[in-house]
Amino acid sequence: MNIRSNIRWGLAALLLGTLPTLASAQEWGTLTGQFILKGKAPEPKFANPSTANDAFCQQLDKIPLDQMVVGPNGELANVVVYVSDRKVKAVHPSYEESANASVEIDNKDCRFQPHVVVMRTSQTLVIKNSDPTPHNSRITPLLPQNPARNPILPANQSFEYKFRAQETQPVKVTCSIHPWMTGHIVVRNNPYAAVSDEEGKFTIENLPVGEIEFRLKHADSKYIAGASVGGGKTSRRGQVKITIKPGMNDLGQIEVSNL
Amino acid sequence: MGRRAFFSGQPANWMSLRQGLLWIFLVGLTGCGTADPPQFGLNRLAMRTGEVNEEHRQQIADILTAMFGTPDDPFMARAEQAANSDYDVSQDAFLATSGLDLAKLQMAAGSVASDRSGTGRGLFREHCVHCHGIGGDGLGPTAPFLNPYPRDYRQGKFKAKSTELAAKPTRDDLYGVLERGIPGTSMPSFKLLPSQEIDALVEYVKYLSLRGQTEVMLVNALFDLDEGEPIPLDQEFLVGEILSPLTATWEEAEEYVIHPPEPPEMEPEESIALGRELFQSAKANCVKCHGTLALGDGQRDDYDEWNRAYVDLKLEPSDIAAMGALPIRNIHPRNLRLGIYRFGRRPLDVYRRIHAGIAGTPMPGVGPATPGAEGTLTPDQIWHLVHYVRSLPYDELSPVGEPPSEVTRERL
Repeated sequence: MNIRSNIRWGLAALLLGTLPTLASAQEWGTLTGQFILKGKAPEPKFANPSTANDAFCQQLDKIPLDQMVVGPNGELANVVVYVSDRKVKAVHPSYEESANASVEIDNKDCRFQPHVVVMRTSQTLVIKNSDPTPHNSRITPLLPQNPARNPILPANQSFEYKFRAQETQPVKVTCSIHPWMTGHIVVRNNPYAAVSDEEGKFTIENLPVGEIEFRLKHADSKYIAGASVGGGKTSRRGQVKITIKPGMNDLGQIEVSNL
Repeated sequence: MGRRAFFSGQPANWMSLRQGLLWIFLVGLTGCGTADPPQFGLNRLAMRTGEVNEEHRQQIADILTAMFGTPDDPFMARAEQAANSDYDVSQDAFLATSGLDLAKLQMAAGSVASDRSGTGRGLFREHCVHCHGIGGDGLGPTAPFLNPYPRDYRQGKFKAKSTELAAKPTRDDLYGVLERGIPGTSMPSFKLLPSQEIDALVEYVKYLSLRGQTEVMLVNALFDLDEGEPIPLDQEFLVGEILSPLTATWEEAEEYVIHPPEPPEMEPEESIALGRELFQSAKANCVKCHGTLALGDGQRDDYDEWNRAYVDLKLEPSDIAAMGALPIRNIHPRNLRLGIYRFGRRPLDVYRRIHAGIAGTPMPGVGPATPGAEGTLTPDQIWHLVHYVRSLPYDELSPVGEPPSEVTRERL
């Protein structure tokens, strides 16, 4: 199997998106599931804003660190699920509409909200600041095609960023003024990626039917290794093959024990 | 196809054969009693971060030797002649794609010597290796005693440069660092070296950086592979997808040099006062990190990217030591009243710092991210900050405890 250039895949995905007629015989399935953390849920952690010399952040009641968000029954948020195959067989036409949309991260209450965003290389990242205090947004992608940025964002300002190539792992965004602030950007060249919500649930709609390899990773922690998913087990680095059938594919509860 | 078939054969055996021949060649060159030639080690942080398995580690080591050669023999150019092998073409492709000058690299690589005409050899080991390490990992034997730590070139990030945040330094930027040294750090000036020797060292730093980033990219590429699947060894992948995009960043550097417009025409005192106001303002917000009095006593809990990589792994100090790395340190904002400017004291140098921020550090930029876009501050405002910052070492320390807003009002 040859690795082809990310840019070419971007073009391929674009081509597939613009040729829905080719995919008309294609059948589609939706994947859903719920991540449950085994064992005792960790206590939620909060920032210590006294280190930042920032009156606005200090007057906030509590600033959650967002690093291990777990519900009362182990519902695990911020698990990223994305296709790890180099090529997706087809992209459903329903994704065309949002192909050039903006994906927003807000600096709000001295946190990045949402904590994890999922986007495509065709989309534009917008980072804005709704706080009355200045932030900065330090983006450090790995690939040389995606330049690092670190702009200052005064109150009510925003800036835009375009990724030129997909990244194999979530890209981190941090704020140097408030070092507890961390966010993650999952950048793929196809729309088939999701992040689990506060109920531990995720949904990826309209996947092409057939076997697809996914990667499961907790945005702030490890790959989900050794978890039973749809009859298979995730590898050391969170890979698992799932056969998508037409209609709904519910993986049920996925127990996570390696974090 | 023939080359690919060869590559996907047994690279490990091929490499050990090549290394054996190289060793014989070196012994022939320097006589008996030579210790084993030094080798580049693997980037242990990258291996750990990428959770790379043993087979892939070995494969990455083999590929890197095939692409970049050894510390004694960049791009295996000398071993090539000795071995008279069939693989010159692909070796040349790596060298040609890298854009590096082999003659300069050969001056900087290898053991310390000089030829009959007095031309130096082994310059990196003569001048740099004690701090920066044989592979440019910043982990030479003296590194633990230095603050700041010596630079690890393998991330391909450099702080002292005239270019935009994400761009590489130009050749002149690196040359300038070697020529002037870095005030306030352990990096000395090499002004007394002949300029062709400084040039050779600049080329070697680029070589180590390119090699180090290639290693990180290879680890990254594993995420597109199955667990037991070997890394593709064809030129399309190694040259086209890994090396070319990295080389391009070096070749583009000149295009990203920051050329500020002229400073506004006004009395220096006036500009300094405006700069002082901006420094304290919620817009530029310099004060958050550099402190109200610019003593560098604001936000001191953050890390540069070289240290942050270890923080993110959530390792115990003993684990970090076991990896051969140095204890994690916070990065501290500069005390701007010292009159020490690490990357140049000219107004132009300070302007570039404020405009772009400093790569690999928490220091953000206030200029536009792309030419033509709108920045947080206008060029005039950046100039006011430059003038204020440059006035600070000569400024009387403001009374401690006085609220900044009042100080500002008094000045205006």
